[in-house]
Amino acid sequence: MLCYKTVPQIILFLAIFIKSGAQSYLEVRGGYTHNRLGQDFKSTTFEDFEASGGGYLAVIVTHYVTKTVFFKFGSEWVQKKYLLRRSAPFDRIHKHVTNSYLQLPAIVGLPLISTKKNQLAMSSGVFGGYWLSSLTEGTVPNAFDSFNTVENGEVIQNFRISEYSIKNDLHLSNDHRFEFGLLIEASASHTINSIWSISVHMGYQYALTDQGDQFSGGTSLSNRTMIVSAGLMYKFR
Amino acid sequence: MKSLAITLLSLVLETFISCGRQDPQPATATPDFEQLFEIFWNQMDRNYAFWDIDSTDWDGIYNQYREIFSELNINNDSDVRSSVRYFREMSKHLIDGHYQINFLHSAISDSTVDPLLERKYQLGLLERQFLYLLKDSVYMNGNYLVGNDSQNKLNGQPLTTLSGEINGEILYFGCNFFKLSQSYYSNSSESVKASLDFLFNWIENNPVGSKGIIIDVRNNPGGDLSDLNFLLGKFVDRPLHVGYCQYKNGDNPDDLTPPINAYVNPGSNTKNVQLPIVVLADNYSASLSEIVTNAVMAFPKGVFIGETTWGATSPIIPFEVYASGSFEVVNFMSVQLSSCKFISLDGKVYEGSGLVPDIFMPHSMEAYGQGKDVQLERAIEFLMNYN
Repeated sequence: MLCYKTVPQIILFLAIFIKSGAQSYLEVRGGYTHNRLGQDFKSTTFEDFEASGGGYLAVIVTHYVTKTVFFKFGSEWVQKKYLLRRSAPFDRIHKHVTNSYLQLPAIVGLPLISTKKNQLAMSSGVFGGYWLSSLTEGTVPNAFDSFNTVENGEVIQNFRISEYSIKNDLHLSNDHRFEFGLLIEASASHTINSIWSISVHMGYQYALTDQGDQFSGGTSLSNRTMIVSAGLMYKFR
Repeated sequence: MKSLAITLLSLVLETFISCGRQDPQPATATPDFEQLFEIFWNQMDRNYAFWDIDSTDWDGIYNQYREIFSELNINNDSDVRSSVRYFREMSKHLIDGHYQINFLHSAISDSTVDPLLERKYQLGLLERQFLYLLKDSVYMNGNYLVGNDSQNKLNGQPLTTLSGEINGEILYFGCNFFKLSQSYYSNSSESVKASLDFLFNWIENNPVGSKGIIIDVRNNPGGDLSDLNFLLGKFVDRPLHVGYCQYKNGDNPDDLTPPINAYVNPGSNTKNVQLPIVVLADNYSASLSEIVTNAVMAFPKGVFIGETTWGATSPIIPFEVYASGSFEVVNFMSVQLSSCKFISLDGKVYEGSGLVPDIFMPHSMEAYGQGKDVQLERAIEFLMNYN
């Protein structure tokens, strides 16, 4: 039954897409992400969590159906990092997690202000992502790298801090490798000539799924990602 | 120097023996069995350092025992006693040599769950404990020193040390548990201090023609981790790599750091000892004794003579250091756990199985009755013939 509804919709979409006069751009973007965990994250080990910055690359196709509506789709490589930190007196103990995702955004947008050469637009949509890799870098008190001091006849053992880095194995059974979420984006573009344009974007991605496994104590590890990027757009249609 | 000064007083580090039972749970009234099970299961899931190598299917345990515990009544003493059996069944294959449950509930306060001890008992591996330390003074030259510190006790026994020379060529040092630095610096016993000074002076002066050193940790259940550097740190003038340790670094069962180098670090007035060192250990050498044994084996001329050790090769550190390890389940029981996973230089984890000697030399009841220590004699023979 779904097929009877879906097929006409796809045909309609394609018909609009190939409508003569429509404009399409291929855009390559690079940028910076600022990711943090959702507020419902809890950890016994780490009391504080902080946002952290990462990288962003994307290839996006933008198709203007009319002068007032456009669609975007493409693929993105997004680093979603976060920092977990213990509180005093262990505040030098931290864990910095770098997760990389391959994402497929689907966006619909509206130009808000358009001049001959410049445009400001807002868009929103959804994204589906796949968790590609995970790296943890951190510090830990090393019980086996210590020195003793004596104060008032009492022996104090001082643990040196060791640094570590570990590539995490991701398991389909424990880790939710598929991520799905909502996104919103503000874009500004400037037309250089009849083919090339440059653009800047600020977006926010809100993951609706979490990364944790089923026995992670009920806590949620979900990403909230701000993305700032700049791109070069090629008008191919 | 990049370090975190964690105030781990020796007193606190007694947790090697008596365990750090810091309670991560708020103290409230005893919950029902369903809640107790959930707390216990989750704390184990989070704090246990060996899930990656332990054969126990902990998720399967949850599915199997949740229903059973939900049917028990906390106000029924018969059910409370039954719970001990279930906790024992759930834990029976755990490899953590420090794992032990002590019950706080009055109906079962005389019960404990100690899987490694119970496995050894069932397999007939528990031998009689031999007390060699003071008997072995017959092998010493006349200038041996016995230390006795009644202010530092374990299981009612005072800290006892023995140091001396054998044949004028071999240094011997033994102790019944590790609280050496605590005793030494608190001046709680002149005789222990004198015994240790004898050891340290001998190492510093290293008499010409010396054949080697014997460190005796037989029948020694462990003690303060600070004694590792305090004792063996005198034998090195630079950090000695003795193995690796993996620490918990998160709430999930598989949240472990990669193996991080473990060292014996030199203290003050240390010397790079080039002599062969023999560590004597046996089935009752546990915890820090096994760590010392492992460390001696990492010396270029270190040799382990005796029997396979107990199998509690990883340390217990106070809970707050790693936010992990031993825990209490409110008003019902305390669970002792190793805080991290120690890995020997050969890349193997000997938790639950014990370190295997380079030269196996079992006890001899017959010789013991005649006042002879065949293990010590084997160590002496080894050093006298060492090339």
